Formats: sequence, C-alpha cells, structure tokens
Amino acid sequence: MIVGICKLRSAADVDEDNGLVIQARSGRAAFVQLYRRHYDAIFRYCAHRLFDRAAAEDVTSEVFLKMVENFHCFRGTEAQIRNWLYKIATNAVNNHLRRMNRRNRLLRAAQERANSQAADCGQSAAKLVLLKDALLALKPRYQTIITLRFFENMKLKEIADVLGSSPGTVRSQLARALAKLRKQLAVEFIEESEVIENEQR
Amino acid sequence: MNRDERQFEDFISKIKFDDEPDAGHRDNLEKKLLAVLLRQPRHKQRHLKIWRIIMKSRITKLSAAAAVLIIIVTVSWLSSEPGSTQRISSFTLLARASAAEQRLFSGTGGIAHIANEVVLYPGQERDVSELLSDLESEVTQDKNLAFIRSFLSHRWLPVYSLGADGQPREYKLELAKHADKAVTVSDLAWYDAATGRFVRVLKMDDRVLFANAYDGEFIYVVRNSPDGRLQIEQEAVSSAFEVPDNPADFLGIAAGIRGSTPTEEYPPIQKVTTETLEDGTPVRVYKLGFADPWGGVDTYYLFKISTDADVIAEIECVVEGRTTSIHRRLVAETVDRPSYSWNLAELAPGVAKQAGLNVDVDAGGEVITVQQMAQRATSAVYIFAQDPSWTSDRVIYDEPDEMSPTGRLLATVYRANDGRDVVMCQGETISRYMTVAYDKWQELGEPVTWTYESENGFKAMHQKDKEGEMWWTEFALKSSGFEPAANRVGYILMSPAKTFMVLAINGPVSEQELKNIVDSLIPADQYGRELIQP
Repeated sequence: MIVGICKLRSAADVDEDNGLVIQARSGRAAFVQLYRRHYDAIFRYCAHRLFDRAAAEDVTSEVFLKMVENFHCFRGTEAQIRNWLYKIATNAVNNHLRRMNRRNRLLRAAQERANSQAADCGQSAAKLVLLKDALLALKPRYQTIITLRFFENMKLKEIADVLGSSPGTVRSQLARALAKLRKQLAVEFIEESEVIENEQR
Repeated sequence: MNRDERQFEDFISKIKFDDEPDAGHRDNLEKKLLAVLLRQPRHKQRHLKIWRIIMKSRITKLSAAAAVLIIIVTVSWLSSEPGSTQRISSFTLLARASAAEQRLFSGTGGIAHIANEVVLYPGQERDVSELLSDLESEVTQDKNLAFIRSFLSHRWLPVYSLGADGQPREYKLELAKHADKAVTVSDLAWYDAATGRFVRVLKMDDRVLFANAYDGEFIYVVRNSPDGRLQIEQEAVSSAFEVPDNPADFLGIAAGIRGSTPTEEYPPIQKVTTETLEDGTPVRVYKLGFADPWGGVDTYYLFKISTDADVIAEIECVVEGRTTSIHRRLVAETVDRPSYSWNLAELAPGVAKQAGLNVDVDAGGEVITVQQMAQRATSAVYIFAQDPSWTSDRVIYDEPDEMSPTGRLLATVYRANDGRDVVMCQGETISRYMTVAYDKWQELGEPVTWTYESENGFKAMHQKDKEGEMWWTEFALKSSGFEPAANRVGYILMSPAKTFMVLAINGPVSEQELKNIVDSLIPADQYGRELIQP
C-alpha cells in the first residue's frame, strides 16, 4: 500500500497505550500523550476526506474536543480508542460536509486551487482533482469506506468496527463504491482526453 | 485484493496529497485541549440518575460486593522478577501474590509463621443514619448521592476462618463507631504443612480479639462475646473435613483470593510510582482502582512492593480520598513451634474484655426463623406463605441495621431447583429509602406503573431504569451467594402498610409465577397460623 499512512504499531506500543488509556482518565499528562499519538492519523484521515487542509484542521480540532468531553465515558483499549476516534472523525467530517453545504464550494475551491497547482505539479495535481471530484460525488458512507481502506490502511473488520457494521456489509459496499469510482474516473479521463484533443485541433 | 482495488490503489499511488500534519496546529490544539480539561467540572454528570451513577461506578459496585476489600486482605506478598519494570495487570499482580503466599505456607523444615499488622482508621464524620435522615428531610441529588456512597462504603474488613465442616466462615473486623483514632491489630498465623494444623490469632494490645485453630481433631473459634468475655467454641471436625490445599485461602491475609472474584472485576492499575517507606524500604507503589463516573480515582488501593525483596511491604486502602486501613507485613519465617497452642481450649477462659476496646470481630449476619424475624423486626415484615414453586430450601438472614439503629436488615433467600434463586430483602432502611424515592417520583409526576396488584394489597413493579435493576439484583444475589444470571429480574414490592421490599429473581418468571408469589405474601407474625386454620 503506497498511500497508506498509518504505521504498523508494535504489540509493545499497543500494550503501553492500553496503560495510557487508563492513566489518561485521571492524568492530564497521559491524556496529552494519547492525543499526540493519534493526532497525525486523525488529521490525515480528515485531510483525505475533505481535500482541504484548513477544513481538515478544523474538523481535527472538533474531534479531539469531543474526545475531551466524552473521554470519561470511554472504557476501552488502545485499539478501541483508535476506532472510537475514527468514528468521531467520520461523524464530524460528514457533519461538516452537510452542515456547511460545503461540497460544491469545496469542489469549486479545490478545482481552482488544483488548476493553479496543476501548472506546477502536472499530472499528479490533475489526478488529485479527478479523485476529489469522484470521491466527493460518492455517498458519505462510501467516502468513509474508501478513505479508511486505501488511505488509512484499515482491514475490513476494522472499518466495520468504526462504522458499527459487519465486515461482509463493508466488503459489498466497498465493491459498490469502487465500481462507482471506476465509472466516475473513467468518464473524467474520457472527458479530459476529449478536451485535450479539441484543444489540439 | 481484486482488480478494482488494485487499479484504484495504483491510481492514488501517483497522487501527491497535502496531508502532512502541521506541528503548529497540533501544538495549539493541545493547549486548547488542556485548557478545556482544566475547566471541565469534575462533577459534570451529577444530573444522571443515581442508579445509573452507581451502576457505572465500579468502585461503589465493588465496595457493595466487598470484592475489592477481599483483595486488600488477600494479598501480602508479591513475587516477581527482581528489578522487573514490566507492566503487569492487577490480576497478574494478585495471582502472583496468591502464589507467593501459598509458597510461604507450604514451607518445609518447620512451622510457617506469618505476622502482619492492620491499622484501622476512623470513618467518615457523618454517620450513615444521619445521612438517611437528612435525605428524608429534603430530597436532593447531592444528599441522595452522599447517602448511597456512605451506605455502600464498607468500613470493615473480612476475616476468614475454617469451620469443622471444612468450609470457610466470614467475620467482620470493624472499628467501633465511637472510635476517634486509629487502632492497630496484630494478625498472627502459624501453619504446619506436614500435619495441616494451624492457629491464627488477631490481637490488640495483648488481648485476643479473635482466633481460629485446628489441632488435628478439633476446630476452635475464639471470639469476644457480647458481655466482653472470651468465648471458645470447640467442634470435632466432620468426616468431610479437609484442610484446603492452599492454607493462604483461609489463613490471614490471603483468604478468599482464589477463585472468589472474576478476573474482570479486579480494579486496573492506574499508576506506578516509587517511594520510600518510613523504615527506609524503597518500594514501587501500584495504585489499583476504578475511575468514578466523573473520571477521578479517589477510592483505590496502594500496593507497596519492596524493590529489594520484591514482596509487598504494605497495602493501603483509600476510600473517597481517606485512608481507611493499612496492612503491613512484619514477619514471614519458619519457626520450631507456634507461640499459641494448636489447642485453643488452653487459652485462659473468661478473660475480661479490655475497657474501651474499640475494635471488634463480628460474625455478621445470623440465620433466623420466621418467628424470630417477626419478633425482632420493628416494622411490618413479610414472608411468602408458600415458597415459590420452583425453589427448594429457604434461609432467612438477619443483620443489624446501622442505618436505622432500631431496625434489622432481613433477607429471605431461596435456592432454586432450576437456577432461578429468589432473594427478598426488607427492613426499615430499605423501606425508608424506597419511600423517599417513591415520594419523589410522585412529586415529579412520574407515573408509577405496577406490574401486578394483588387482592391482598401488595403491588409489584419493575424499576424503570433497567441498569439500576440489574445492579441491585446482582448485589442482592451475590450477597446471598448466588452467581447472578444475565436474565435476572427485580421487582419493587409495596405492602398494604405502604412499606417497601425488593425482590430479586435469578431468571425470568412468568406472569402467573409472579402472581402466585405476591399473592402468598403475609405478615411474618401470621406465618404458620393460617396453615392451621380450617
């Protein structure tokens, strides 16, 4: 997995974190340590869902503020806290998109930024635009599954835990989401090649 | 991974993402979070229902079941690798301690001798009976909470002895109510691994408070009688008698640990620090406790383990921020002979109790008959005229009620043939507390829905809060020696005299079964009379 950002954590790390979760219930230092361990992953997840750094930072802040507010209710292990945070982040991202009716604005803004970056970054930026359009055109649940699977490197079971669903359901939804993406990206490629051909003429 | 997935992965692998976290944002957010943490009120959740609070609070839950207090008296020594700094769970900690203690008792080449001291500290300023009266005068959530927490915070320590039938007996080591300063009790034990003989003595200021011994033929139990004299009970062991494989199970500090508590009930280790005891012993301190509903940990145990010898040097019990007891290990050695005879009948009989003695060992509850129940109760008490059809033997337990000093706490317990054991609890305090709750429901206009109203004037209902019902039924069943079933049910019963009882059943009952048992409720003083009526 090339884009997978999450580092595989050793069993010793996880064991240590389980202790941290317990300590964090009563100690601020442990809580901060826990926050630092999860900040990057949650930020990246938000960035991959929103394609917008500023929005991703806003939503990341929202996620960790919710964590502070609700941490006293959390009674789980480190593995569970990671899923718990992804769950909060998923809801926060979805709310963000809904609440602000940001999708169109995001697309427009992203398109403009991508266009301006395209000159510098060439093909990668063009593909990024395609991906953004394709992903943001999907249902929020499909966006979540695609992001968790391909960007956060999660297994189907872990995604199912985050979404409160079964691995089988996630598998079929992943297949449907990929089919839509394939169709969407193929169309974009065709359109793009047509535009290029027209320009050449 | 299928073709679609591979293609998509290839596609995104060529894209450069702007997803590198910004350290500035991370640090700023950290500051904000810390500010929120500092501002966050500790008692944020006080609006929650009291039963929910208790249910969520494993501290009070465990205090109620006395499980944690068992832990504190069950562990004396910890064996682990010298200098080990590995992270261990409380279960591992306690299992090691149990094993280490067992080894001490199974020593060869002499008599194992263990000496510990227990320092008991005075309890809270306000008596639980005062708190109940206070609650009755004005019902507020804070007063409710204060009463419940006090009610559930045991201030006594369990002490185990071995009976002539080989079964353990439990007593309470308790500081007298009037005590205003800490007292120290010596806990001495000798065990002969070759013959199984043992003697255990609890002493204060050279006065024996309690003793238990086995000399190969008889079991001896020595207690201070209510008139202040030493009372020696001697009973020949039954044919079924066997000294338990692990004497640590019943002798002194390790009593009750093995298999008595499910592992998930052990409190987690919250913190590990180091310190030096007054005698200069460097120790690692393990703080064991459950977070309360507000995220704090103010009821916990400190296991202080000598870093040199890797044995527990001290165990401190803290309830709501106050030290209630400290156990200290004094001696673990092998001797040629015990300081007390295996035959405790040789103890000087009739030794007068020391004036002002402020610690006592109490046998706790007592098994009584229906007639005794009727005589002892200071308010209306009830019994099933016909035992529930699915049950076998019935036992009635009677305990003094410290919350309503003139009253009793009574539990009528039926063991069931099909596992649906029945426990009915009643007494002045239960009724007073339920009256407070019932009046409050009425005041708030919350409808009370009776599941069943019998012709004889009794009413039964489920508690609205299912979690609450699960909590107190678990407590009632566990206290009566049953393993609570997941599908247990509870009913609040109101008598024609408007007094309340609680009924826990260790499994579901049909509507007809409920009707049958409620219909058969009668005042205890009428029990037996109607059976001889034509």
